[in-house]
Amino acid sequence: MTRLFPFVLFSLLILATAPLPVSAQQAGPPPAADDQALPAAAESQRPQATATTTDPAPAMDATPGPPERGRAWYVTVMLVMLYSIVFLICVYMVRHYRFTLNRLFGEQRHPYLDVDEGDWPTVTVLVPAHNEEAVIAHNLEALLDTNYPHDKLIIVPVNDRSTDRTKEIIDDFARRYPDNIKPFHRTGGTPGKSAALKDVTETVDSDVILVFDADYIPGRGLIKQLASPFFDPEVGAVMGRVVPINCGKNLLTRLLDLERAGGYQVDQQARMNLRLVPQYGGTVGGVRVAALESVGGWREDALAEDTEITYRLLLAGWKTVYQNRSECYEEVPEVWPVRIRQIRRWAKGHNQVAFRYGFALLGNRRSSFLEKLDGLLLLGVYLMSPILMLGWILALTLFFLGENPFHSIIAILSVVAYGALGNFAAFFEIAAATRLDGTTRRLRLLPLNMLGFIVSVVSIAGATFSQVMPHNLFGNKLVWHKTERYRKTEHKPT
Amino acid sequence: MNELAGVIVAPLVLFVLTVGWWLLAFFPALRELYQRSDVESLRVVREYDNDVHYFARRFRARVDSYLENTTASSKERGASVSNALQHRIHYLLVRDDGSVVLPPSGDPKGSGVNIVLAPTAVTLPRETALTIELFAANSLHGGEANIFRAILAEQDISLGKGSTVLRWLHASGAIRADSDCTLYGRASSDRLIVLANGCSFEHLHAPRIEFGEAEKPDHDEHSGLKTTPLGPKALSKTVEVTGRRWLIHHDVDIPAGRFIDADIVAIGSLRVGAGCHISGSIKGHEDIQIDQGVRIDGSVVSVENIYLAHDCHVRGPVLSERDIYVGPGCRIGMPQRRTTVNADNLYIAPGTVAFGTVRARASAQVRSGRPV
Repeated sequence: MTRLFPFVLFSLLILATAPLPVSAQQAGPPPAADDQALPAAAESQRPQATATTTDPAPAMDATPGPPERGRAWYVTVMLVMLYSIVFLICVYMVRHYRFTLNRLFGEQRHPYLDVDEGDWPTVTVLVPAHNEEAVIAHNLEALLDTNYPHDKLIIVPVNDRSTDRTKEIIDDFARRYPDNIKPFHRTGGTPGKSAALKDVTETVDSDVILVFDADYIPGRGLIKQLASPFFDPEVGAVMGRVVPINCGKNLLTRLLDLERAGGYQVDQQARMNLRLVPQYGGTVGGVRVAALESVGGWREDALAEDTEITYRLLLAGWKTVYQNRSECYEEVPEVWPVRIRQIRRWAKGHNQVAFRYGFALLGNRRSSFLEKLDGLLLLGVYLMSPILMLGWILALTLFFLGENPFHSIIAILSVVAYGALGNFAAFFEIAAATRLDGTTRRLRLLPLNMLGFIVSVVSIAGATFSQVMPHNLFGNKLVWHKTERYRKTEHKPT
Repeated sequence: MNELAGVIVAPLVLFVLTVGWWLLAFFPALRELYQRSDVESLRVVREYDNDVHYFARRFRARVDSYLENTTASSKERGASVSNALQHRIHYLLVRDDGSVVLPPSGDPKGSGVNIVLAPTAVTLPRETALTIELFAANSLHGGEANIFRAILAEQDISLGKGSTVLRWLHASGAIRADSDCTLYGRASSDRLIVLANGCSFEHLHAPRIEFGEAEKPDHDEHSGLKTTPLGPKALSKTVEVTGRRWLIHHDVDIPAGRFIDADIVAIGSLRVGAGCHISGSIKGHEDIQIDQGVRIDGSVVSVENIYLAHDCHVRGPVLSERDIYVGPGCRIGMPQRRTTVNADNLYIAPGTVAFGTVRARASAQVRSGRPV
């Protein structure tokens, strides 16, 4: 019960600032003289209010006001839209706070982390690689150095039409470790990670598939940690935590480091704790082959195969598990154009999943109510950027139209606008994450995250609008969206 | 003039104050941006692999480095603290008779001593308290109510009744703990751990772990089990079959003496009747009750409690997010297929044998008498 206290308090705050019902307004004191500027709806109710109350300033009321008129239909529509958007933002705000408070004060779930021994499943590690000469050798060396039983481990570098030295490096490793490294070279077929995964999965004969991006450097115990949840017959997918390795490079990488910390340390783990919908992120994670097959395998046309598979598994009654302590380094974008391309790609993929599976999730009897709610909110995360921009436009337009019917809604809007502009609730997540990570000094950069937030909102909104353009709806061409690497090539074939 | 001030100055002051207030948050941000006091990536320990022998390995390396600097003659003589200090090695020696050569102050910690060496097999008297790590080059026989900080032994360790180990212990040979011992942290052996009734622990790891008196032979007593197959529809009309998995959206009660060749997931409680054989794994969203003589080849996973009645055999991991109660005569894992038992609290009846790791997030006890 004590855990509910913050939410009760928050609800009371919202109620305290919420617009009064009409009857309550009528019972209160009359509007002041300068309320002549009040918009139509308020004006239409005004004579009725003055008729039923004792007016302390009759002289004021004697002043002739504007002629009574009904509210234009489009204004009503805009108001309804604006209030709906405010409501949505409030829902997300509550969600962020719920997650953060859970991480700070709630019960933490790590049910599979302590599995030391067992009859480990056979694991195939897929490493999709497209022009990854700078990083692929580090990745393969680290994978070979893990403590997973080597007789149950196959590493498959998936070289998809690389034009640099990637193929040469992979083949060199395969020569040296023929029992554990089985390369898969693609020279044709549909481009893209989803298609590459689909092709290579047909050749896999293991219980579990794990996927690592080529720039990831797994620790010695990571494969065991990621494989252990599959002892649970209900688990269909697992996800670990990615940690930026080039965090200190510049402002962008430092901001992304904060963002990642909030996303994984708080958001993903809270969803795990609360038995909601942790998300498989496509790398540092994996899927049970039987589960994957039961939902039809990877979809070639998926723009975000990770989110896609999370939801298809959820619909089929499989759980995705998040392991916060299964950490792995990754590179984050160091320049803004790369970051913008990355987030646009994520947004499009996420939105695609939202439109494909949103309604199916609502009616899914294998998911609990909370899973449905969280699943839908997670699907709507990227849609909120264009919605938020629309909200800003509506608020400004209504203001200049003179629409200010309920003065107290402005108070709410102010709070929410601040929350939205500064992404306050999400920033709270980041602050909590740095505390949990024990890296609190970097938290001072938090106000600068406003910059990253604005760039993200604009990029995502742009991506979403472009997604609904006819030429994209009907003629989508899949390509390898590769994030630029910043490490130097060091591998010398032996 | 005053009106002009009211019109211009007041809004201007308000604007400046507002902007100033807003910019205030950016000062520490800009300072951190340029000072770069916290730019390191979050430390991910690549070498961390959940190795139960980690402390023992590190301690052995430390002991080895000490012994390299200690002459054999001084060890044989029973080196005094002053002799040890001459080599900058701070240690106490345990003599063959079990007496510890204490520094003049009588306080090991106060003298800067940070290790206790037992070069030969020793037997310690009752109520000995060693609050620094002990290295036994041979076997160690503790007396009653001994207290140790940590122990590393090259051969067997036996702990007397009511003894306590505060941090960890590891033996290349067997570890035997008499009744009512408390083992905090990790206890690992390369061969065997035997805990008597009344012992409590947190983390055990060995090829074979016996709780109380193990009466069962090692051969598979369930190999001749007589069972009749049970299909999914006979178990539940609403079962969803996906490959090997049977997903059932309510409580499940498997009748006694049945054989099921599948993984079972129950979105509710799950009861497995006596003498059943399940070739796959089982998962319950509520309590799992496994009756006597059941054999499960895969894992047993529950969001709530797991109750194993007597003489059950689970070959895979047994994982609970709450508590596990294990009845007498159960076997978990196999000699050639070690496994893991993990829960918040564990209650294990004497007569149970496990192979691999037995670990409690809060506490574990060997005790009889708990009705399952």
